[in-house]
Amino acid sequence: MLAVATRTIVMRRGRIVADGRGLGAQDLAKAMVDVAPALTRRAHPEPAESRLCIEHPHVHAGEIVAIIGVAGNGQTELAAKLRDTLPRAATAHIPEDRTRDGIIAEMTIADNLALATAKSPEELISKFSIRATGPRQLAGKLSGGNQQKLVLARELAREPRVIVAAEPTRGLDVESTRFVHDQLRDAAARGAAILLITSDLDEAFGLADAIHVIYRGKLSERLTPAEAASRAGALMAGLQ
Amino acid sequence: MKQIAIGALAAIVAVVLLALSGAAFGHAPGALLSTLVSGSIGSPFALRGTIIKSIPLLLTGLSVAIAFRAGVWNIGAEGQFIVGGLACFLGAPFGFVAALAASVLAGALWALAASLLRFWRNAPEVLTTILLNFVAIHLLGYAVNGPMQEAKKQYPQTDAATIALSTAAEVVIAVAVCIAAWILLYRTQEGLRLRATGFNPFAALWAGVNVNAQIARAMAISGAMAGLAGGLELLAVTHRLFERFAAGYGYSGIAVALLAQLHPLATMLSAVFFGALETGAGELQRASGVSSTVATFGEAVVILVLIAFGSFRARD
Repeated sequence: MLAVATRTIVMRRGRIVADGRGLGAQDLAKAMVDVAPALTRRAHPEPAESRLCIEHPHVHAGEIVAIIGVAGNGQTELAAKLRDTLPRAATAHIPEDRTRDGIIAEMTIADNLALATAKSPEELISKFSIRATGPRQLAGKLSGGNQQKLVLARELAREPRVIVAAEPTRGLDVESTRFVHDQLRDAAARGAAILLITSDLDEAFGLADAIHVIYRGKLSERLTPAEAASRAGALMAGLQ
Repeated sequence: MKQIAIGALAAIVAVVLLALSGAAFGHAPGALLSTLVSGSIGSPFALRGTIIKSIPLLLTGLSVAIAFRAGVWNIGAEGQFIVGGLACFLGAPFGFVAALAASVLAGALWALAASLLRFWRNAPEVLTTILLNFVAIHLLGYAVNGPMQEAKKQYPQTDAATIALSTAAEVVIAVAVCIAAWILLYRTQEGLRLRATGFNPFAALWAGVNVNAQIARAMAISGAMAGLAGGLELLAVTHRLFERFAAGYGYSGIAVALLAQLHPLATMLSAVFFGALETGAGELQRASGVSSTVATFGEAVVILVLIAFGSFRARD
């Protein structure tokens, strides 16, 4: 891009944040990732045992580790690999493509839940505040936010020790996004190890205790949010 | 509710079109219909004929319904029916249980061959199952012209099987299998996962279903039912094997399953409808010289109507 572009525009969350000629790689990196690391971190258990150890991500119990990067750098493949290798009984998966991989639109809410949990559908509908006419409503008739809550209910009801959440709030409204974030924080507080794969940098910096950058299928070293705030842009662009 | 209406509509349209096309060839539609009705349910003899035809249709219909529910296009009920009959004949000297178990096992293994080709070479079941039908047809042809031919060596057929089953027993077994299929699909975790795989294999995979194993099991169950249909047909109806033993029951099972919208209990009604249509068509041929292939015409119209109303969509 640097070789061919004469003028470069950087967009984040629907806004143009940088626009100019002759922007260098470092300028672009800063424009792409201009986030202040969250200052208040909750106390979490000391790293005791490593739960996830595929390629590089080590996630300890009670910890949220985010993987950020420009879409198409291997996030989808990483999530699929984790799906196929982690023991299903102890792992929850929130797939990035909600309509294709998350729910079965032609089946009822109750049937969708029963695929992975034996808990009562009425209970889960109220616990995860899914707005529905009842457990016999077809999952495909739910709004996007409620479909995602259904996926969360199905996956988190078992209180899994490991959670792999890929783009868990993509396309959701503010309220549903907050709900998903609260659920992930609660799960971490219960001691779950959470790997958050996201292209939403605010989400990553808002939730994560540690961050990896994924670029061309490879993970960066483990960064603290503060380190990530200064280096992530360059790592995402493949400059480091 | 809507599905029942579409099914009923398809059946009615098929019968009406059948009568109208009869008119085009110079037969009075009214007389045609009344012959169809009297020839299928008008007398104890006709009713018995309808029941005898409905049983294999019910089982092949269930076979197709289970496979389609799992999203697998098993068009091979015809071949699975034949190997079921062959295995049943070979198992007959060892008693009823052995004979029927052999037919179930043979049908399941015949269907699983298609799944193996899917996993090994990614060959679509819609092709492999149809090709396996021809293998089964020729296997049967070889058997009744060669090693399994009757002792008199006069006709290309086997001797009568050493055991026989009453029609009542056949009906009881078939209805029990039908109810079992409903319980499997709608009251067990296995059925839930099978249906999930059929609706959306991607989401099923993410939800923890082993999709390939699920598809293979659905194929085995589907083949087992078609195989059992062949075994029951041999023991209760034909008593011997001959080249036209399957008589298209496997293919008709597709129409039966689609008219029933792949629902096991509705398959019972759908099987009786097509059983009556085939029996009535036979009477039509005897009484007015209209070829009994009009029953096949009826099946085709039903499928076309169902496609037109979009209640049956290909997902492969």
